[in-house]
Amino acid sequence: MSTTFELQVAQVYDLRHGNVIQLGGVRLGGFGETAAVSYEYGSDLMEDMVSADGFVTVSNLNDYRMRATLTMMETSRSYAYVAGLMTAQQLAIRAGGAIPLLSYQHTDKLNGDKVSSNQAIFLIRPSQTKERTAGEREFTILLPYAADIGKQAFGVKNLLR
Amino acid sequence: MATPTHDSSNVVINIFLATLASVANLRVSALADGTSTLGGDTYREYTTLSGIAADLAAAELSATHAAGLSAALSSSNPPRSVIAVAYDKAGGEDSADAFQKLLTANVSFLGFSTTDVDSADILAAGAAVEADKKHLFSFRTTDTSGLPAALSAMADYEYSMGVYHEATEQLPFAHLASRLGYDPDATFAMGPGRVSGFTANTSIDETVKTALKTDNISFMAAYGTASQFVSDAYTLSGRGLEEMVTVILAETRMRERATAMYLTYSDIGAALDVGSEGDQGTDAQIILAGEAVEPVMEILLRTGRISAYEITFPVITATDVSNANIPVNVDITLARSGRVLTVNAYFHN
Repeated sequence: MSTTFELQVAQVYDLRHGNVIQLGGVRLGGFGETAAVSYEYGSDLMEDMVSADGFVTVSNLNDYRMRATLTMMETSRSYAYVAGLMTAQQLAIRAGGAIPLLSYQHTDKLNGDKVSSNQAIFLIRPSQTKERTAGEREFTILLPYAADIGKQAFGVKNLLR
Repeated sequence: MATPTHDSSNVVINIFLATLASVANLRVSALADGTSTLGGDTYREYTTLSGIAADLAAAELSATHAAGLSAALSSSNPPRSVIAVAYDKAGGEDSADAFQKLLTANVSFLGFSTTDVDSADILAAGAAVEADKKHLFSFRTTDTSGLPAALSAMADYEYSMGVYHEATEQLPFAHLASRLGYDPDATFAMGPGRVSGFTANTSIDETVKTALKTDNISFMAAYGTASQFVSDAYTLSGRGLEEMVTVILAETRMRERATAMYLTYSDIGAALDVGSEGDQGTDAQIILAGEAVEPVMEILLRTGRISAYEITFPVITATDVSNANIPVNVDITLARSGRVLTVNAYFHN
């Protein structure tokens, strides 16, 4: 049985023109061969358990962490820019005090996906491995509360209304 | 509570480049006086009573000025520091001149008050703060009928607050300095609050209370177990003091972030494209909203200052293009009052 969801007009996806991925207010580009940014949640939304006699309890985990792994070519300006942000953040942390705010935002103008955080904390730095051809560099940043309900947008522009 | 007489919730913010070199300190208030000399300094910041006493002994602070500064540091929930600024009253200067001196010197402060009780002086200072829209002014009044007739021009002022107090004491400054002394980026302190060390008012009856409240004039009275408490704490237009702190905080932090972003772009050799007339939701608008607006809204949300916000992108107009403006709007639902504040931000490219 067909549904209206199967009959929609083909949508366009465009990483370059349709997505704005910015860190510290600067738009990133020069992404990897296939990957640009991948996201990983700290935990699932909820966790279920069942008692010995079959009583199911579901717990809200309240874990709104997200990790974003940014992949860019070692030859890109964004690689140098992001590395600079990472260095500056580390130096600031070593100097003591609060972690300086660094904003991250990803907006897909076409389908409405959105991830945003006013705090981006570098967790994993890339290595400077050299091979025969140009390689990719990956930075993993923690977005502490980006997965909080209401902060993300999932395909909001795909709706008919 | 009286209905605000000026109920426009729209605030137009022009985000110009900030002149402050560092993040603005929005936790300190300044008290102006027309006879202090401050030893020739434009202003001085005091963190201790002994510092104030020393300058009083050196005749660099007037007795009134010293008493006002000391009262603020001695009152309940005192701020970490207070600023003294002087103007030459005998030479024709007024409190508005003192306010301007602080601005010219790029001093970081949020609250402003004066020891002067002349209506003309208060009018001038209030007008200066109202025009600047980045500070809050608190003045003393002894008029039991509400806002004094001589100050009627201030009736709609959003950045001025009047406090009725009979004794010649700097209660308005102490209250303002106390309420603004909390870190606005970390917490949401409401406007009403305790004070201490002041002389109780004797003429406030129900008739006077009604008159004062009608004109949004605050006053000190016993409240619960607090013997001295300034309640209401509205600006003359009827906005809560904490609401105006949120407005100023939002604008200040957006301006700082936009400026930092502008400098970054300059350093890395990049630029934002304003776009063309008729465009909407441009990359520049998205980027600016993501860097200069949304992070600030998140902080306001987390501190409980606002309960919701919605960012929208206006259509780029011919004026935007000719002025190199990048417009971003945000509707903010303010906590405590529930009012919606619309910020029309024009980032000057």
